[in-house]
Amino acid sequence: MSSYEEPKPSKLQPLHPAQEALLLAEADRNLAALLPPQQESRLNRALDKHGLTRRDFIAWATVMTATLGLPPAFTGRVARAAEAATRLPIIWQELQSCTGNSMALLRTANPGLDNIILEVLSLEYHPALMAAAGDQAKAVLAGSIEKHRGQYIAIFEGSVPVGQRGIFMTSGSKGEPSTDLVRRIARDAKYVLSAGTCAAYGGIPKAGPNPTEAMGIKEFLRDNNIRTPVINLPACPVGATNIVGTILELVLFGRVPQLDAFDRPVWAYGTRIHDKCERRGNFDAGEFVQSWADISSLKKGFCLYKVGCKGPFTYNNCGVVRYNQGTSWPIQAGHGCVGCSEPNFWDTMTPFHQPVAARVFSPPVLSDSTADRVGLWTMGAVAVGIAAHAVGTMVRSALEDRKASKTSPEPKE
Amino acid sequence: MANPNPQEPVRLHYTFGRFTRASHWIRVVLIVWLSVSGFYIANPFLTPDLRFDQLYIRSLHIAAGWFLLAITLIRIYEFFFLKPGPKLGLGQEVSMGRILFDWKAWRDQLAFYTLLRRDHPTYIYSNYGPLQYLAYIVLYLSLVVVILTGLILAAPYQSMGLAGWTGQLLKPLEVALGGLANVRIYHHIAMWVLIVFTLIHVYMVAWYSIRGRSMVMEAMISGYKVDDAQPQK
Ligand code: SF4
Repeated sequence: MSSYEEPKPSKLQPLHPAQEALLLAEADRNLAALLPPQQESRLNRALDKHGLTRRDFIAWATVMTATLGLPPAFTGRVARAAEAATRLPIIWQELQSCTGNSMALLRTANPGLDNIILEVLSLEYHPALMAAAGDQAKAVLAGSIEKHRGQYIAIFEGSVPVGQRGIFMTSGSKGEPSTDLVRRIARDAKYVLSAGTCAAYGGIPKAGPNPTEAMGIKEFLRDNNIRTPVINLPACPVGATNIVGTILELVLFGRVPQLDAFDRPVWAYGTRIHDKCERRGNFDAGEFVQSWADISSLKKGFCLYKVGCKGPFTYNNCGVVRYNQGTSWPIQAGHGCVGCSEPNFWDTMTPFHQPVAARVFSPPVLSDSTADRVGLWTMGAVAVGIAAHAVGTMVRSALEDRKASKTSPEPKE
Repeated sequence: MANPNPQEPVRLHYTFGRFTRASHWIRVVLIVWLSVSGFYIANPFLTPDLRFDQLYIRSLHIAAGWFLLAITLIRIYEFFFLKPGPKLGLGQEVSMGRILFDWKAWRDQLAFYTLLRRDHPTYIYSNYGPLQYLAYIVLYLSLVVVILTGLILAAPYQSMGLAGWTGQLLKPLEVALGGLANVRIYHHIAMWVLIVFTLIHVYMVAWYSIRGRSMVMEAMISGYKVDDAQPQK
């Protein structure tokens, strides 16, 4: 089929036609259950408000379909899934984080369709957005959990500080520790989405020495024996496309999408930054920005590896979907990737403005410079040992030879 | 016992077969090239006038890695299964591991290395001294670490190829080590173990060749070393 030849920004293989038919049927079943056909959606109203047409919406759905690595036949279903998604109850809980993910999604002057969809999602509870506050807000939370038990999607933003029995983060007038809060919300959720690196792996709060004993949601739930499926959506912040895309997949297929080894959806985190980077040609050609003073190379858009780009170690699709309504992303703007969607990036990816080979600090053993220093000192010690041993051997042999020639002319056996 | 008298004629013994010698020198070339190119990839410094140097050097680094993998696999197979005759079962080199627990062997060997003893101890059941056996185990462990981490690092560059497949198999290891950046550091540390091993290895061989009058250094080229006429227990 010719439709398979369309470029897809995912490393997924083209689907076999039979497989595709199965998937389509599955999507249709799920959508039929979720979306009674007659209803006029909140989405249309939101589109009108922003002056967008149905046409824009379908164009967006086409791009989204390709981003998800689905065959073009899914475009219509993706559009319907977006409408269905607006009815999905969502509980968004802030934890130990900078709220940067919420901000990145919401504070846009000209929201793209991803943002509009997030806007009209049925956010039952979002501490930063809701009008209610204090005990009232807590009551809303309890009510939403009760009402949509087993049906809602819990999105967490931020890490869980478990140190000192959770007192590093409490909420409400009763001072409920975040550990209890997460347990309460996650236990009855259908899916848990960890939005941003802090929720996915602990992120910046977990950076050494990790005073609050912060941990990612997945790790925390595993320790607490809560088996709600968790999908990690790391990045700092995670883009709207990856959140919306994941929700669409959940709506379309009613199950967790294919995840990679770090529980990230493969369609978004299947390839490295480095493999989709517009400066990759310069990398292979050895055209590097040598330092921040190397203005001419910077202007030519050379590869940022030597000024610290961590794209070669980082899985994400920033280069494809980009930020701020798809205008730009760090490497396009001229700053190397800092590896924010990898676990413990604050410890493993620093220094941010030099290659990892320059890492001198924390955790102490795991840096090139430590390895190089230990290696060189060992070499030196070995060389000194060798020299001493060689001299010793020469002296010893000479003595032995003298003794042998004195005691007997024949070789001693 | 090695012949202590330089005047006396020696009997030569064919120790290293063609394949052993070839694989030894191929590995020398591979390890030198892999270390040099590895340092370069970490810190590229050639000017971009040399078009695509980074691409070529990295490709040749990965290619050399595949050769190292192949040779190491063969060598590990030999270690476990090679034995004279058509019998099945564990190879003779595995059983030589007994030497690690032979305290007399340790004492004799260390006395020889520390010049307290003139003649070279030999063992009936082992071609290797205990320290030597241990050193080779460390060598192969670091080779395994370097190869496994290398496969993980190569996977994204050859995602549709064999490395992509092995990369998938090794995902749990990647997760256990904490992502590609850490995998790379372990790759680097294992390389240092190989470099230090090489240094010690070269000296020990040269030393034993002269002090033990065993011609082992020449043996890696010609295949012949001095026969240990009367192996002692
Ligand atoms: S800028 Fe970064 S991600 Fe892009 S090619 Fe260079 S090293 Fe790779």
